[in-house]
Amino acid sequence: MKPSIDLTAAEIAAEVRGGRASAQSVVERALSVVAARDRALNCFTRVLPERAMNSARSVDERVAKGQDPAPLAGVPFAVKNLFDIEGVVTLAGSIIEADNPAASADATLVSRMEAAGAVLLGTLNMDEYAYGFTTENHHYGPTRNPHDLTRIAGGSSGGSAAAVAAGLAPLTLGSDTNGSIRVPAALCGVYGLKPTFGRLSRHGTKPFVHSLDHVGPFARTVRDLALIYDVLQGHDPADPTSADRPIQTVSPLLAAPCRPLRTGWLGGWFGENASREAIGAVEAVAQALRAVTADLPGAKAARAAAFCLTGAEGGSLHLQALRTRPADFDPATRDRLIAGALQPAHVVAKAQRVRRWFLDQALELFQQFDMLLAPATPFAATPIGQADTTMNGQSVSVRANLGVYTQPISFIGLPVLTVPIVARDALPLGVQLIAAPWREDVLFAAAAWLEAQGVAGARAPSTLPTAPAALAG
Amino acid sequence: MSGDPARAYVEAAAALADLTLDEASFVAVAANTRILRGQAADFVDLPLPEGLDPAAVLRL
Repeated sequence: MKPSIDLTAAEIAAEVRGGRASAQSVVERALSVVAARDRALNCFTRVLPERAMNSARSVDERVAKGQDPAPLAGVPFAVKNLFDIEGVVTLAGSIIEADNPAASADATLVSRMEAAGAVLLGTLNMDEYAYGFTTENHHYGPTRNPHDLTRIAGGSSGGSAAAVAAGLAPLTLGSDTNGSIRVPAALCGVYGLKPTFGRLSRHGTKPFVHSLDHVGPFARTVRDLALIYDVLQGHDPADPTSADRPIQTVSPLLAAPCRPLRTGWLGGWFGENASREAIGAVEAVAQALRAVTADLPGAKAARAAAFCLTGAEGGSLHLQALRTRPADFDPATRDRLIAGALQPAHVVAKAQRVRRWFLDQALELFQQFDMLLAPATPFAATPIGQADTTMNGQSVSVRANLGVYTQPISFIGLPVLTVPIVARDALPLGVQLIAAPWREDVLFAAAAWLEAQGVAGARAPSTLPTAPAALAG
Repeated sequence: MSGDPARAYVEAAAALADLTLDEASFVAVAANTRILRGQAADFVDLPLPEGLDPAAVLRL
């Protein structure tokens, strides 16, 4: 058996289900890889070896009894530390939450993963309260990009993306309010899915912005992403935003030929200020899919409205702690939350109306197109600690600008699959494949085709210059 | 009251929200308020159709 770092989730599950490897051996190997390599990366905030080995033993017992051990048998996974795990305090990247009692039950998606045979390894680093795009956590340290340890992993689900990119786990879960799955997936060179708002249950996750929060998976292959997405789906009455819709199984679609898709390459806002490399990444995908240019009116206003709404809802959610424990926040998070909470009501109300209007613009565009393309980020991973970068000749804040292309899309809840574009000797970038509500199937078919054509795909960090020596741990 | 509209706004709004800010935080919140006002300027005057119901946005 190959080292677990080289195996996909699909390969691990096949080995365990076929009795050629035990879940316990897979998990032991995964825990040793985490112990050796995470010192350099800082992806994990807590490793749960006892729980992991108990879960693995349970999977092996099912195999030994001839029972179906489920589709993700023995596959290690980890979750952003805003998912509840029974017996563990849910940190959400903060020290304020560290004083809370441990969670009394697992988040719905954690339960669904374990019911599918997957084995939870632990919890992953993130920006404080998910309010950031860099995972330079003031309290728990920065997560480092496996492709260049001096650079950010992106955020706020930076631990989730970096863990998959570095082979610490083949599957992870994160959350995305304004781009927090898509930005780190792009910067770490892995696949990330932000499904339609309401598709996946958020029950048992710490909220940031209730009306914008989504959860979703990361993986190194489209097949793995489909496997995890298929087991995560399903209505959850415990989450009031969970849609009561039939499960849309996407794994079988991957083997079928991809039908020609009417693909639009978003211009305007989605092309302004992007680096040459970011434009090049979208161009490669657009050419492969024979995309034509498309315009989504109102994207700048939508981004601005999402920005203001995020501050208002996020600030309001944490107002009591901002009053009583201001010194326990990262100052940069605290002062943005306070400013957000103090916004005039008319701005917030108008932002909601812009949201409805912008959704109408997008739905109209989907009369002409099956799928839209946009860069995931305007630039590749920046050095850790670097506050500003250059966009279009101007010095701009890294934190404020990494999400300029993701924010308008999550604002209206559309499903997005970020595919990694990793050119030789270059830092990873990502392209957003965007579909109409509930059409994740279109995205998976296109991503599988792009991967098969060699246009998109994750690459092991060891092929890049600065990672191997440091990662050797 | 300061002559800077953002500082003046933060001073008044923070008091109404029972928030106590030290000087460094006050300066940073005022700077963030300027950023938010700049963002809000991109949409607050956007003409929108009458009868637009924002409540429908979460029912995709």
